Amino acid sequence: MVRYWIGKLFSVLVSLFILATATFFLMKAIPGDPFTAEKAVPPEIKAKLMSFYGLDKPLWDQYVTYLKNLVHFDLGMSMKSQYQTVSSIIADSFGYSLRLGILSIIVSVVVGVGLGILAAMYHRKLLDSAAMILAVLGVSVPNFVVASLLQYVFGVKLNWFHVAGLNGPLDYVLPIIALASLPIAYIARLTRSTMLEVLSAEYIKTAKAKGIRKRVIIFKHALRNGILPVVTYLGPMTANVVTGSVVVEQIFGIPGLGQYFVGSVSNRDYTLIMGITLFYAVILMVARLLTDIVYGLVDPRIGLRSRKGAA
Amino acid sequence: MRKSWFLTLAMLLVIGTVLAGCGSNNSSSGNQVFNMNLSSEPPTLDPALAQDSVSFTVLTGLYEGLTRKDSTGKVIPGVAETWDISDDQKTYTFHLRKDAKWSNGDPVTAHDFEYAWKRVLDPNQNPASPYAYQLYYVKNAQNYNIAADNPNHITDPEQVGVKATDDYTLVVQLENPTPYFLSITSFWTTYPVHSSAKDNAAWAAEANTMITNGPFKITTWKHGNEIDLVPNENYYAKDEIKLSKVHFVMVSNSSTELQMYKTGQLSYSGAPTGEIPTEQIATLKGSNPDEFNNQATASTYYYNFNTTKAPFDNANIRKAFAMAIDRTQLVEKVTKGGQQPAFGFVPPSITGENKSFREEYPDIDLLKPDVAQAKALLEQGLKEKGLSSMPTVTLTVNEGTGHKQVAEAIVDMWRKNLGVEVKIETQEWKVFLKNRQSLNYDIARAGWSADYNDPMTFIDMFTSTGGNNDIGFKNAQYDELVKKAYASSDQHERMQLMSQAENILVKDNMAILPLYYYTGVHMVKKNVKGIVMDYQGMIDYTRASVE
Amino acid sequence: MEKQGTSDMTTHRDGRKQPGLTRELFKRLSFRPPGEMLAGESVPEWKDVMRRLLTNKVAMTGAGFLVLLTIMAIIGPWLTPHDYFTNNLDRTNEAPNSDYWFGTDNLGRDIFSRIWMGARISLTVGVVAALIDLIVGVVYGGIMGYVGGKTDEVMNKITEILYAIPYLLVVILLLVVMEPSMWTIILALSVTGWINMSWIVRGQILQLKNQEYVLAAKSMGASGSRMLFKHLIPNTLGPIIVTLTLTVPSAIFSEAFLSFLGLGVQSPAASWGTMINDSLTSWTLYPWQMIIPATLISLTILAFNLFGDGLRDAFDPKLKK
Repeated sequence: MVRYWIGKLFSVLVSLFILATATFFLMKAIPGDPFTAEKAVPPEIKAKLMSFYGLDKPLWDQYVTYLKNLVHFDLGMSMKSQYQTVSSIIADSFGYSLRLGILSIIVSVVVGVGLGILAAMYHRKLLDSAAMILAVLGVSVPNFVVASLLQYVFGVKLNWFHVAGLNGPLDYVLPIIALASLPIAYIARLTRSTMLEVLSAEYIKTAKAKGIRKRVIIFKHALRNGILPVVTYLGPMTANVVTGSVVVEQIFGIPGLGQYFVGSVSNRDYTLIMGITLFYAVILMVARLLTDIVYGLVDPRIGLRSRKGAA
Repeated sequence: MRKSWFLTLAMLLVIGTVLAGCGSNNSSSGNQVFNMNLSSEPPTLDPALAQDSVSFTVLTGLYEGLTRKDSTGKVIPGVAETWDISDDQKTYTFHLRKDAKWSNGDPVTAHDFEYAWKRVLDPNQNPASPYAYQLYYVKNAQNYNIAADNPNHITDPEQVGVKATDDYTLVVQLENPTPYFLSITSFWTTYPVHSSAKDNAAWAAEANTMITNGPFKITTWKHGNEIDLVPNENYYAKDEIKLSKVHFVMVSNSSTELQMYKTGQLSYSGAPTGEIPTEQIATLKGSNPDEFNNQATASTYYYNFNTTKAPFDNANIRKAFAMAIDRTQLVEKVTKGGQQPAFGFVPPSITGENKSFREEYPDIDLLKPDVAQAKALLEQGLKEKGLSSMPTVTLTVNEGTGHKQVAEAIVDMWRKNLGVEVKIETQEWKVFLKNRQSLNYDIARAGWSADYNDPMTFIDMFTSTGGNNDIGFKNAQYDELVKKAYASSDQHERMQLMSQAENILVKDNMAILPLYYYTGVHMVKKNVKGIVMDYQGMIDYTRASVE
Repeated sequence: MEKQGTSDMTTHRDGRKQPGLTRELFKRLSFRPPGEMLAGESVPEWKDVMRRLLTNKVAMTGAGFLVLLTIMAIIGPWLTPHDYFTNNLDRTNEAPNSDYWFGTDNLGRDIFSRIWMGARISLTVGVVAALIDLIVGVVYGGIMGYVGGKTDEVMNKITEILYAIPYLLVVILLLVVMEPSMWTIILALSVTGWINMSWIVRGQILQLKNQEYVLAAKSMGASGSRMLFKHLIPNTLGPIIVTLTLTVPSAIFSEAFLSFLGLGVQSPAASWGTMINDSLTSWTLYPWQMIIPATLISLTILAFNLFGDGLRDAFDPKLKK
């Protein structure tokens, strides 16, 4: 067990190193620099700015310096926002994204699994069709369309919610719906099909034959197995929510990390690009690890070790 | 069973934490609150480092320079109550008011200005001030500011022509007579800086370390999210300040901004820091005529010809392309913001000798659209180049739907009127700038806005050595005219020289393709009074009030 | 982003006897009576699959729609006298009418012909990106699964690292570095898109590898690559095809998402994604400019999903109850 975790940690570090290297050089390959502007800054002043941020040194030198700082957990200063450290930008903005993300994931799982179970319980009945139509809509409408529609209908027309900002609990409703619509649909379909499968399994049939009530069967026996694929989906879903938040944050004017992500590239804010990339990578890796752990908890058949190889 | 308990507990914990974080800060909606969208985080609130409209908009409330501008754009006293100008127009003596105070109660003195200006020019200032050249009119300023490769470099800051002779007198010496210098002293780069900035390089990065001298002071700066300004109780004219709060948000999406305006979350929408979606303009103008405004601003939208590369190294081909465009249709049907068709380079809101420069020297003489003549010129130009047909050329624009649409409309006009196919390429902003600056294009979009209210801010751009001359235009006569205008203190002569230069640039060479003069399309809620947009399109909200 | 996460579709299909493995574990996987199986058989019963697919009305509706869409993408632009790029500045933002069937956009261009030109781009992006995912994923995953051991471990590690790179960053960087065009977008989408496919193929191969007919073929001296491409990969076709049909819509989705960020195809061409994005600021005034492309994109994705589900059911009828 300990060896397993050391191995995991080591591979995470190696991954981060490779990722940092790749991003660093890819980023430097883009034309332009942080100080290119419509009104050209006089060359002498630009040279001074470049040297202040160490951008006048050879690329290799910059890379080594960057790695050295990274080891000390120093992500550096933003080159666009004067005197803001990358860590403080991430710390300031990630809170919003995290809250939104976690709430969306919870909503997705609860609603998705609920819909899936309902559909499975009332298989081939009206409720099943209704749930599946909902699910299908969630999968097939792009989320920026969903977000715009929600904003217009509930924000502008009905005036139930603020159209933008994240200042009160109510402000979370629309962004969460926009963010969760796709995962809900996905999870509902997943749960429905696995539940159907499980419900037709021998042991459930036996339980039924023994006269155990349907509800008990569902929640005590079937759900446990039915939820397994959902757990596997948690990893990709985290990635989904992370990138999906770029759109949702932009439309709902949420000051989260997503807006910095796109902005950092267009500003050539090199240190911020690197910082956010590494940060996102760590999140994705942690999400994957958590998936493994949760999977191990839910599924007694599969221990951590044997999961290692499987995708 | 234990495991599921564990899971439930974990879930509950997570939900609890998340919800606990939700219920914070509701933005207060008092009476005198002005809500505005900045679209993005201001890169800095240090006057020396600011160079963009977002930073400038916030700084307008936080600081006051030697002079201010009134609602008509006239220079009026700011921190300086009066000033004397020497006969040779090279020495300005500013007399500062004695009741001007910093937000912490310290008096604002001439030394604060001297410190601030020398700080902007300091060659060792890090990061360097990108707008330092706004102060190059001051004697020895450029030679002090630039150290590298400069044999005339001055190391002694005392030789720079700005000096506080006592606490309330600032003497400024200039290199050349500069008729527009007073308007420069209201510019953001010339704002005073509190001496406490010496000890803390990062003083302008957080709200609690900023000491300012303007009508407002900053109370909250949540990075990437919001900024709050409240009146500065130490401001000398605090009675003129009616607003109880200025609330800035940072929402990048323009349709969201409009929806926020419509539902009352914003009191102001549109230029200079926001945007009103083009397709909405006509409808909004019709439905909210009292709120809509599209004042002309001192900026020109034009296309660069790469004059160093075939086929646009030929003046006739350039003229043909410029004459084949129906600018009226472009502004009425495509841009829709009340823009004015441009036939010259200097926009109408730039002042000339007595009236506006454009009234004195109309641009209609510079370029006359004429499809038939355009065709003839194209043929002639192609013959001169020894070409049988127009080679494939590319029009490069930067991202942003507006630019793409203008490009599509213009390419369609060329197709219909000249029978030529032009490819459109959209490039990411910095890639685009890089290509444009290194003359790696055929035709490229460009826009230029005034730094000060004088035609020179446009005209000196295309001298052979101009740092922003990215069309490869080199014309000795043009350079000579600009040089003469620089040295002259006679306004009439200056204007004539600059008009002649513009003639060379547009009429004779058509080195650029003027399209339209920008407008600052914006909306202000009916109950908000006293918002002023200046000739540049920047707004002054300091004297606004909510009814 | 929808480029990840089709892991629910990794249906473990093999349908062969699993001597030595617990019956319980593989119960859900065996759908044919054991008697039908022949050692050495290497291709699924296409006839059965086809029969099940053809009788699945929902899946066939999806397929029908896709066929119709493809036909329209090919002939659509020719059905109207208006081309997709000519501006008509006197007739901008018109609602659908007898002249312009789907109305006009803000430059007075015909939305009907733009929609079908857009269909070409969106479908090409979707299909080509999915095909690249398929080829790279199958080869890479096949090698991982077949060779196994250290090679597998290293190759698997590489995919895990790639997977951790924020996909959006790679795409944005690529689109900034390279000239933006449809092919750049396809490339950007494929950079990390193949990973999921490779994992699915690997999983399948690992399962099949030790089965009787494979072992038999091996003992008869079949070469490695022949083994892999002649026997193993054909047997994993089911999940691969299913994944493929679900990768296409996710690529179409991703393209739309990139358009939202302003990284779409070059004008005057437009994909459905760029059309929706262009209309986002004005759809409250001219709703058809958004509704038409948004409906088509949704229907297309729906059709691919229905067809994909049908295919999966056809390969693995146990799931369809």
